Amino acid sequence: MFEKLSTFIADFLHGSQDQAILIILTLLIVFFFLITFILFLVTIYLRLSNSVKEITNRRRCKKWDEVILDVMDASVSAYEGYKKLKKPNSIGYLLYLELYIDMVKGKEKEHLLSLGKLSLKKLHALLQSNSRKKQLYGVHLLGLFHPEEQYQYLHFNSKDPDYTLTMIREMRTIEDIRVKEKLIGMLFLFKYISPVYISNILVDMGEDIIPILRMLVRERKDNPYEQIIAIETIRRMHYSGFLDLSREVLQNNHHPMVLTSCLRYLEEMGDETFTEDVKPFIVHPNSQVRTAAIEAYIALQTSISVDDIKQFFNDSSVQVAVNAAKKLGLMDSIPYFTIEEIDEFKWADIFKQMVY
Amino acid sequence: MLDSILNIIRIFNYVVFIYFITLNIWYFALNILAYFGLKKYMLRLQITMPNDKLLLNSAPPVTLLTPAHNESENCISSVKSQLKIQYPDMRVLFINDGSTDDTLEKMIKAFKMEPEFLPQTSFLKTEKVIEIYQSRTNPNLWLIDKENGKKADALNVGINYCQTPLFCAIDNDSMLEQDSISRVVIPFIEDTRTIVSGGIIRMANGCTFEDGHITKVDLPKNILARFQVMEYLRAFYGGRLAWDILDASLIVSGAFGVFRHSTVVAAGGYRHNTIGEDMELIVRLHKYCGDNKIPYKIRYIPDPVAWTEGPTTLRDLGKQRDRWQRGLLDSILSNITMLFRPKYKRVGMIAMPFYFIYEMLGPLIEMLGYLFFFFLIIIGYASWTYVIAFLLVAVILGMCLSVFSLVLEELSFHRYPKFSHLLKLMGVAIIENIGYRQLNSWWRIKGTWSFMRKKQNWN
Repeated sequence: MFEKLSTFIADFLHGSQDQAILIILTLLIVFFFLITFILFLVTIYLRLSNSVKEITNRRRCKKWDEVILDVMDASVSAYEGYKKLKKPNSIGYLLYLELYIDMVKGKEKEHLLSLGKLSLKKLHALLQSNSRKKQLYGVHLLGLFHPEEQYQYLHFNSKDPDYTLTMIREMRTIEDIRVKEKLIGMLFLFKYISPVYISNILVDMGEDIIPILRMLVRERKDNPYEQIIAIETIRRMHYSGFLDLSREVLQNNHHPMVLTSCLRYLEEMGDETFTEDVKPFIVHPNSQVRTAAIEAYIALQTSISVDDIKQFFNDSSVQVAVNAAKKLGLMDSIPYFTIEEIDEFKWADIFKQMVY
Repeated sequence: MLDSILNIIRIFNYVVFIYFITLNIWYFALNILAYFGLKKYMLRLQITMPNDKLLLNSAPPVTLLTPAHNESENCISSVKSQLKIQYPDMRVLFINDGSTDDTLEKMIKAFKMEPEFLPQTSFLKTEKVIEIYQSRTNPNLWLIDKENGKKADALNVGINYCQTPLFCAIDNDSMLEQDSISRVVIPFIEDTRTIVSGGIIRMANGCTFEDGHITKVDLPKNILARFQVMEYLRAFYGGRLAWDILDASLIVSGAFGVFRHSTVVAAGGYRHNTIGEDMELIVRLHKYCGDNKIPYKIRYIPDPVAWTEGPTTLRDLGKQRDRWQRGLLDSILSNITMLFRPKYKRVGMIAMPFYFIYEMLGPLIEMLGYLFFFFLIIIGYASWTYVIAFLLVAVILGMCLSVFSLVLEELSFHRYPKFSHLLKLMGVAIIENIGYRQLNSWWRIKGTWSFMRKKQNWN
């Protein structure tokens, strides 16, 4: 039975199909040989074009250098400099100019910005282009030279989150508060970006967004991600007008990360009238909340009690004890403990080595 | 009976043919995916530079874990180069894994290290820690002296004493580029679900280093090392980048990868009794997150570079490939329950089957194919035309894939600056398919054999 079956399959494959397989193989050889040869030519072409680009760029940069340096130290006006430039509207030139702008300050920076502003026409053309790449460059460069006009040509593509995020990021310096509000709304559509990163973008938007952030904390209780970012941004701005609302958050909000952010804010503000508000969170079931509460509690107190320290170093989480130890290590004085008392702590080693 | 055997062999040869065709379709698809991924990445790279203040201000602290065993010769230069890496908040944790030479003494003397307390932040089971030191000249440098327990154990000790949310595992002989960490952490900033992010490994052979940093990129003179340059390009451009786009990366090189500390601890850290601890950890992290329904991402970034020395003798290269194959087998077989399980998504449904069928069994099927072909020719059951045609397809396809990775290199970072480098690499792309590739398969078969023998011993 087995012999019959194997003979049948082998004959079927060998007899009638062998020729077919040979044809397939020959076609594959020709096809892949051609592809390899084309790829080979493409590689050579890319290398040559990269080398040519490099040489041309180097030459152009040399010429741009002369003009940029002249404009920078006001030897020539921005307009005269612009006239002298070769390819003054190219992306390459504008990106090169950006490198200079990043390096200088004050008047020199202003001169260079004036020079860049003369390429406005090109930037608008870039924004209207169908190419994603050109649009991104357009927004990026417009953000540098004409932040006030940046939003006019925006076409956000919700199917392309990278593109949208880069656009928002590049537009963070815009001044119009209505646009900022729109941008914040769009930023919160990204659910997985590090809250620290979003906070940094928001911090760059300036203090006039604080009312929006306060509103988010007060009204978006169903969305802890937005609340965390809002509180984190307020903390980074070191804005003290949020203290009243933070008490409300501690009383009414139950999300561990929102509580953690709020406790960190209180730690940073250092208002000791909040000590009693912070204390209950030292025994919170979530270890991150406990850590933040202990750090805030130590920062707000001038002296720490024996019972508090026992509590910190008998915590179930080693991370809580380590962070408490780091904070206590910064204090001028702490209560005295005998070695026997310390040995009874769950994290005695950490206390002995880092605090005692 | 003889006829039956011959028929089975002939059928097997058709199986090999189909296997070969599907494998190469896969490789091509992966290369094309890699092309689009690379194009997208290059554009983002031009707009969002890693020295961007926004990104750097958002960068989480990282601990560099450097396990070392008897690395007396290069430990100081490696650590010096690591300390020069530009990153806002980074500490280096050098783990002396029971060295019997003077690694410890050299480190203590060179960096003025003194015993210091460092709290343990997790409790993975490891060999005993003897002493912990901190440098007096650079407070960000720590040294843990421990009893010997091999690389995975040393890394677990590093994890236990890691004080930061992220850690970067590197080999002591790897040289990281100065901005490599700030590039490789970007996925952690842009997506909080990221648990691992790895960079590209390039061959350091032939390159010039000063003070632990690369100053001149060149191709190695040694032909074996040159073959490996091509292999690395193919593996990192054509392979890992494409798997990253598919969201199904199974490998992040042990020589350079950044991990989320809490997730690795929760998954149990590195496994001690395995050869390929890097791949095994990645596969287990997929399993852990899949089992616990944790949303996660394992990412690969094509430009943060770690330079590493590759073997230059047949003996050393053979040993390395043997070890890699055993690592691969161990990682796949110890997590075999993930195979074709929809709950592990693309990893269970695409990556694991691919690695199982093509990477694990590949060398065996390839070598058996060669053997049976020649057997059939000798006994007159197959024609030379067929065999030669088949071999030609194999060689040309191999060349095609290699040249494709050269295109990707030219489109992106073109790190080999001279035109002659390109021509030499093209030469390598042609000749590696005749001899070197078969040798590789042979080493991997030996690896499979050693793995099976070891398995029996464990039983």
